[in-house]
Amino acid sequence: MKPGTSLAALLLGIAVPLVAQVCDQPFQTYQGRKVGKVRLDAPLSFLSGGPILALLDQLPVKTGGTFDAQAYGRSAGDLSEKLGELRVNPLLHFAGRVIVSGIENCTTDSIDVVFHVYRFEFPPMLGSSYEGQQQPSKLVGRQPVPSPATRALNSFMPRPFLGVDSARKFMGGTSLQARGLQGPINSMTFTALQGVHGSLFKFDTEGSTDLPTARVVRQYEWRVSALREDQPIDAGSSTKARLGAYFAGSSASFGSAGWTFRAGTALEGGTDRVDPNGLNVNPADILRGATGSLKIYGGVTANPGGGDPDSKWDHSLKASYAYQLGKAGETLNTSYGKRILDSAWTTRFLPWNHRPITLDLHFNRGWLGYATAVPVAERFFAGNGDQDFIEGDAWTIRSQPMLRSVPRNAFNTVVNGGYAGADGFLAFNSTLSFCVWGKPLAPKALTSDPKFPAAVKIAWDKPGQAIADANLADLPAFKNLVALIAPLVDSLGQASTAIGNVLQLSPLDPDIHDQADSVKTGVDLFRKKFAGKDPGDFVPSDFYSAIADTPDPDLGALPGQLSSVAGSVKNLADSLRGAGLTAQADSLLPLHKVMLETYNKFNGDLDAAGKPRFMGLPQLEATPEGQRAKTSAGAEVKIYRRMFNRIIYDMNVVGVSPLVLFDATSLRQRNLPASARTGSGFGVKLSFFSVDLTFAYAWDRSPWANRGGAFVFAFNVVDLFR
Amino acid sequence: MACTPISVTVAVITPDDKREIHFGLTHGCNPDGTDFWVIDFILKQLKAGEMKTRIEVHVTVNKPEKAQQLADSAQQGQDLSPAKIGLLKNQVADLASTMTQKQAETSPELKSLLNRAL
Repeated sequence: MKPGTSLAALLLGIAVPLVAQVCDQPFQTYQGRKVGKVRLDAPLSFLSGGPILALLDQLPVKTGGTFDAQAYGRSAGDLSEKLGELRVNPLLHFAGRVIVSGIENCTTDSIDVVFHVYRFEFPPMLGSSYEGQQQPSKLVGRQPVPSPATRALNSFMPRPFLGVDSARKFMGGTSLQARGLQGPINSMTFTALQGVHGSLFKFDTEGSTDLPTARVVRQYEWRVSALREDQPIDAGSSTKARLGAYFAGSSASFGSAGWTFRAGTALEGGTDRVDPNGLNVNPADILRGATGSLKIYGGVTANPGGGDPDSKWDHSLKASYAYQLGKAGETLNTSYGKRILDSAWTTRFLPWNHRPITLDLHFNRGWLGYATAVPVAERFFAGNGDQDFIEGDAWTIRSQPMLRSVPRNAFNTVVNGGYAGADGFLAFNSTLSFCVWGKPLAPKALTSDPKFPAAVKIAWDKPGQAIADANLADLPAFKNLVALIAPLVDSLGQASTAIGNVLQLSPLDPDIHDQADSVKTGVDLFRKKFAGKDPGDFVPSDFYSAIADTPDPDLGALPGQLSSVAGSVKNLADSLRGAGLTAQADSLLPLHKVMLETYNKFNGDLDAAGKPRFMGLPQLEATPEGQRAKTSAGAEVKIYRRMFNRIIYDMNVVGVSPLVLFDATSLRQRNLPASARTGSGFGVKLSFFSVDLTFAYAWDRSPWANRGGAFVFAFNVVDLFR
Repeated sequence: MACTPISVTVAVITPDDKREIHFGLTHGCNPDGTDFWVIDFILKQLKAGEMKTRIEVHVTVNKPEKAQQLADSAQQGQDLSPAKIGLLKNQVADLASTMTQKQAETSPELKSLLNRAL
């Protein structure tokens, strides 16, 4: 949980039902009565940007018609389908919609039917503090309404944000992101933040490559970043400017716990400047000058216990070890080294549906090694501010001790009046919360239905196959097959035209006319299956039966339709030649050749020894990559199934969870005894589906401290994939 | 208590902006006053700059007209290979190409094939 806060606001399109006589008899008792009026109550529908009222004509129950209980019973779902999918994007992280059907103003002859539509949205600009923000990444290439303004928004995706914390005080800023760039660059992001104390300006350009069927490394990421940041350090302040290049890779998941490894490196250079402003810094330390460093890290994440999607227990582990080799000083003549061990454990237990107990534990440790001096900014400062080992990296490594009961960087010495900035630290943080009240998304009437578990099981039987299909589609050998489609579609089009020309001939033998007509129909129907489709959307199952043979346990293999289409074109060419139409016959032969070659390649063009000259679909599935594409689909489905269960059995539309927290931090400085401080507090976590807002207060429990404390605010989007 | 048709739909984009989760819960009422439920779960993943559906799951409880679809699903079991899905998709395409829009919307054969293929 990151400290910091946000000015959050929930934009609620809550419709207040009009005062009307609500009919409380079972709806089926109104069967056959006249529907006096159908009303759609969506007073804030303009917020959704959609012409909701225009849907009145499409509703299953119509004004002036007869009330049909069956149509009414499914009306909420039907209306939801007509309203379409909710839109979310980096500007709008959460959207929801509730539709409630009702019957009003019932008389012995007629009734009114009303649909209440409530819509709510959660824009991140109002909810996410700077500390809580994740690294912006690639785009969602979608425009709600095409206009110059929305096109500009879509191109640069501005994300304003507001926040407050005890060190920077009030702050605000924005980020602009250019997305969907071609080549190795996926996005460019500019971020600017200004607080009462401190500011930040950052420019990132980044890219990544996913290799979903690779044996070991499944993803590479790279980033180049420029940064300038001012931040308070107790009474003083620190300014740093950095230019850095970053590279990281993540592995596949191994074992039932899904052990996933990550390693990364960074090369950074720039300048540091610390203005003590009364802060007691070591005179030997470097207050200003150039700095350069090489950072490397390795880490692992897992779900110990196997991540069983149906388990009441869910554990997740994350651990990292990082090393920084640095040079600093006016001539980069001072060397230092920094080591960080960072680990976190989260346990979530569900004693009853929708009443989760969550325990978050975090332990990190840091060591600083140097001869006589080190840049002050590289020392350790404890407080309620978070700092990552590599700024902006998707894999976060906490590089400073967290103590939520004191302001950012305010615990920085082991003795009163001592030098600011520690050489080493140990920090432990824990938070325990228990949901005491919640309004579940999936009501008990559903989850306790005896048919529900079986329905869930059946529904989850198929998706693994769709994912395997998509994984196979990512293999380079499959893309080679897809490249054959465009020439095939061209050939089919040319064949259709050529046969059409034959049909125009007069006189023409009636048998040949009928044959040509039949072949043209077949060619056109087959061409329609593939013409005009985006090659990137094809998956292997699009080609089986149509082009590739379908294995059948009883019949051996059902030939792909293309073989018969190609055969019919060849037969027509032979007939035309027999009728003396040699030119027309010759025009079809090269087109037939393309069709036949495509069919052969999709089925694995075998040589005399039975080895494929061209990898077809059956060979592709049999390769190690093809097998991995299928097996990794099973592991992926398990993650989604766990996510589904979490939404059904765990999450609340609104939930209230009291929480207690405890922190302990020990700082070390050379030739002095270590000093420890502890803090504890309590508060409440409010959950809105997958968004948690935490409000708490933590007191400093150290005997020699001033017994003050600090507010703890946090905004978190729950990681459903954990 | 009288049955009230309700539909709740939520959509979330993950903090890294790379995945969208769409979750829908529909509570409907059968003509005999009993309840039926439909859960829609769709996960989309960013691919080539666009959010594309990665997984789609629909859970139906007590909806009468879904009974046959469930039976079809149960018969298909867990071993649908891309080849078998392809065969079904191709049959759907061929059957649909012989129908008008209206016929396609109401055809039980097409509906059954679609349920098995999708």
